[in-house]
Amino acid sequence: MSDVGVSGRARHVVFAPLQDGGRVDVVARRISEAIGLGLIADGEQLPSELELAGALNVSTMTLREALALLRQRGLVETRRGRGGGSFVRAPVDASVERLRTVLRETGVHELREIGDHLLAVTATAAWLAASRASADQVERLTSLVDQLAAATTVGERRRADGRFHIEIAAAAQSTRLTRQEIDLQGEIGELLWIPFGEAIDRDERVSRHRAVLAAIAEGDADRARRLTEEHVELAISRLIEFHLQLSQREP
Amino acid sequence: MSPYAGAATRVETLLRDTFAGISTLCAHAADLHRAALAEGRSFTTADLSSLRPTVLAQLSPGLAGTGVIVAPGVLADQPRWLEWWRRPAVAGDPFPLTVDLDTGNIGSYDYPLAPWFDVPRRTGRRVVVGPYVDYAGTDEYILTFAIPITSEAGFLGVAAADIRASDFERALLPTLNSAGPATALVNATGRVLASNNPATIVGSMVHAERGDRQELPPGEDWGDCVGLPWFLVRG
Repeated sequence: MSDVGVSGRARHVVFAPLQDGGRVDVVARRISEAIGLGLIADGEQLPSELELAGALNVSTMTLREALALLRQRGLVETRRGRGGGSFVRAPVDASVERLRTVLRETGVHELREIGDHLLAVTATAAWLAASRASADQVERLTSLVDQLAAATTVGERRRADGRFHIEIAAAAQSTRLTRQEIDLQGEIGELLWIPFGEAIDRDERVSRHRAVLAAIAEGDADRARRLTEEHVELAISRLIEFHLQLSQREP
Repeated sequence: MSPYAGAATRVETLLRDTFAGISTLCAHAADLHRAALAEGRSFTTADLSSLRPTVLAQLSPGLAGTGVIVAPGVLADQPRWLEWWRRPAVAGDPFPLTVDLDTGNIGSYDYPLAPWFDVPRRTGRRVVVGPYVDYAGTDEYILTFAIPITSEAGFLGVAAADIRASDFERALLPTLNSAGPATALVNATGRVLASNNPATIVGSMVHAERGDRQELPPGEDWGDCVGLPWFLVRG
């Protein structure tokens, strides 16, 4: 089977065996991330179902169901018959292209620096908010998580997510932490929300936010901090992972 | 006489003075609107600008800022608008608040959602909010006092004043007997506004069950103000 447009290295990164393979949503997410990051381009053909399933180490049935999900989302279209197969449908707009470029060009060191700063500010804000948030602030935070859960566009999700962290810093009663959270969101926020290349999937983010919020509402400062640290560390490590995938691919 | 009569008087005076100032702004703004209607012309940002001398006159040294925030759609030439002047934290001349009011932009100042705007709009009552981090507007830690501006045409916006939490505490501290038992002035949600001891600093939360509480300000005059009464909590 000829190598259809995905460079040898990218194919290796994109289609390495999944560790927790066997779940349709995990397979779908791996492929859609590769599309979202531009590792597989619009119009490119995916390897055959048999090949993909083999490379990812999942059953062909799982792979087929994942492709069906991606077809539903409009990311992939499958043509039958001769010259048929699954093709990526992801026309790139300038803003997404810009984000991918920024992510590719921002070095690991810089991502880690921003990540460390974000960790310090966000986790401390959650820790303080646990002892300082008033009931009405907890209510406001709850409605922000609901907004994230209900958001339909990437822009809406990013804003709802950003506001949640900013409101936690405000609930910590700190103008400095709030200002720093706003600035850090400005620096890194959009990189966490590349369409289909989101560092943390929206539903997982929602459940993590609810867990942090529960800790804050219960006044459990240490738990609020620990959960927030896990959340930020995960986001940054995924961002670094994406950066590495992007920088290994020839531009 | 209670050792905290001083605190009660100081709180009452501060509230009275602050609300008196914004009432003056409110009356002037309503008059301008009425005049525009009577003369058959539209109400515009130019009318709001003529409010400026009054705003500056009301910007007393204890305030972080004061002015008028217009309800969306009230002005003919701008969907949203405010005439707000601030006093710097250190010495200096008053300066205007400059914020992005364009609702199409991500970071824009969405003031209709703020409690100091929304509560007067919905309830017709005056309100005191905070202390809170005003990250969308002034970036300061403040209390905001606001009253609705209404005329025959309905709700026009709010007249409001900000006091820095630090200035408020400085004003109250002398009335809280530092040699006496631990005492804190807390707001309606339990947040400390002023305290004579380091265990309950400004911004921290005090839980309802603790200690002996006295309502401030006392009396019926403030029953219509959302966010009051506050409480003097001892012990």
